[in-house]
Amino acid sequence: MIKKSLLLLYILSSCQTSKPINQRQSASVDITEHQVEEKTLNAFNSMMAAPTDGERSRRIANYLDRQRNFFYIAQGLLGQFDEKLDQVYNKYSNQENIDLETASTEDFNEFNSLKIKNLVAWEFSERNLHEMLDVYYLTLKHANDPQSPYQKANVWAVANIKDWIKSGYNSDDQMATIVLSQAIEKVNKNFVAASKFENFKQSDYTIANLSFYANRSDLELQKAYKQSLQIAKNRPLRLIDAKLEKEWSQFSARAFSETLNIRKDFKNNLRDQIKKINKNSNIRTPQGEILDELEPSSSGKGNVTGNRFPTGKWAFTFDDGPDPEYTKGMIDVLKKHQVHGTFFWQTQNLIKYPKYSELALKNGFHRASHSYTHLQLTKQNAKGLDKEINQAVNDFAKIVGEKPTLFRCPYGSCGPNGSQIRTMIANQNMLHIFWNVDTLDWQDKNANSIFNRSKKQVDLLKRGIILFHDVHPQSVVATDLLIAYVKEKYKIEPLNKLIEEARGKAYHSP
Amino acid sequence: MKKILIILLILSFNSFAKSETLKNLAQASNSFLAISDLLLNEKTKSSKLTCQLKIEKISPASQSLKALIDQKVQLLVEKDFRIIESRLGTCKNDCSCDIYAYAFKSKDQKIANEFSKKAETTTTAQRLKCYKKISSFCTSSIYKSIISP
Repeated sequence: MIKKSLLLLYILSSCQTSKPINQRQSASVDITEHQVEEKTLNAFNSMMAAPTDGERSRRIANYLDRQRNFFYIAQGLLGQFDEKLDQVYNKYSNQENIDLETASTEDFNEFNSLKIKNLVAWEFSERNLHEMLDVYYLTLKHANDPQSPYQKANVWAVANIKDWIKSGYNSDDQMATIVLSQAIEKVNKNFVAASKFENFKQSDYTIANLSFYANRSDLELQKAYKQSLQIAKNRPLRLIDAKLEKEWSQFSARAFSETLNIRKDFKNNLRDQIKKINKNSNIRTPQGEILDELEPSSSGKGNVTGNRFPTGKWAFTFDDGPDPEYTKGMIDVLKKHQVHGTFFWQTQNLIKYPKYSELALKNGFHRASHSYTHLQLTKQNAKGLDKEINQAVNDFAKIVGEKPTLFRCPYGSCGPNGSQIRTMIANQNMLHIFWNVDTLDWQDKNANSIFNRSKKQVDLLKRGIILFHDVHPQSVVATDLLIAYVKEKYKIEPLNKLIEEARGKAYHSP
Repeated sequence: MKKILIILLILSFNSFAKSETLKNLAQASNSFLAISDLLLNEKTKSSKLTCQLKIEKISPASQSLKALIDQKVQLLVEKDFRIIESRLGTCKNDCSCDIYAYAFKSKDQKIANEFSKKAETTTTAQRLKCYKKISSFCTSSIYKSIISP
């Protein structure tokens, strides 16, 4: 049932959706070098300003305790919302013939209200978890640094973590404790990987080893989840509930106008989704399985827009080349910034300028298909489509050495779900790649204005796929400016890596 | 009957690129850039100027416009290119230099570069000024064909 609600949420929302409790925050902490928020760094410094080691250690413990209480509340709320979503969902899944026109109004409104509440609770949970992880990371750093004047206080703090987790598991929310333990284990792993003490073995570090709590069996997870729901149900209301209620009402007002737009999609998608869902599944499904839906397909599950990528992560993409004048410039810009890009090339250009394929490969950049000659696919007959898609990838493979796995339709126009175009792309085992930030670089020669327009979109959306073209001079300059900006605030990753994160399993791109 | 209507619709869209001048398409391009900048500017309140568009509609509009411009460029003959080239001195007045440079890219790189130089310095404020000069863009046939082709 949980799977159903999560899948519906995912389909209907381009925002961050509800995630399974044991996977919820894992992706966002899976980074090589942990980045600490400035606000938390200041809080940590103020803890270290205490006069004695004992007091410093106590302040860390108090801080973590407070944040954990909020985190538990948010986790409980997420579980409750999922249960409610199941109830809405079950009303439909038990019917043979669903009359969406007459039956869905009330439930649709409830569904949207739950979705909004779920998002707010998720954000609240995420915020508190990250504050805890930031403090834990700083504690690790000081505990393992013999030069730190606060080493002793932090060694004590780390030593207390295991008891702290144990008490949470034994007397509070088990499921939330498991999530927290998994996140801390990842920080441990990243800390060791990123640490400068290369001669140390993992056992030499002062870390809180929580593998016992982080790696529970499926049966234990189910039990913990049930216990978590029970706790959430019996939890007395606190001040924080009033605060959340206020946030929900503000959020609801903003989202109300958009409700009408997604109502249509809700009706269109619900019937299809019901058919697809495994009715026997009654345990919380890991996120990876839900997002397994992202596969080459003529339906919506073959589409990648970037809206579901982890917050703060961007992929840069370049269309229309290779171009003898500007592709190299673009590759040089990416090299200069040491970031990744994916090139969607027209096969006709690739045949003319094959050396750029090798150059891109040499620098670790991916190559993908953007049709044969950039004709508008929706206006082609079967023969035309065969050339623009099938022949395009076959001839692409002759130069690149393998077929592309990512395809971008010229003008972003692939026709509706289930169209012949999408079917043909799926049959070639490719995903349809769209974008959510359009730099409009083809129609604007002023690199600064392209940059300004793009960075505003980036800050607005905070994740996704950026569309540039490697055939215009202004695009090279604007890419240089935008990468410098994005690098400072976000992470730039290979497109296929972000697809992998979104679907929870590997996705190869040549 | 439905099939005939669909065919007529497709034919009308196909012929749109033929009937619209590159100048009109270039002005439409500038208009969408200006609208995009207005929508991304937090201070913008007027929806009249932005055709009540949402920011997410700009990219599909830009792509439809690009398709029209690509079709138009394919149809241009030598005489048309000469006429466009003669606008090198005036293209800044209606912010059309960018699209003329785009059109000349595969025809004559030197002229394309000259148009590019003119376009490179066009500011957001100038784009808005050019856009405001066009009367009733939001109700124009070119706008309608791009927004709902």
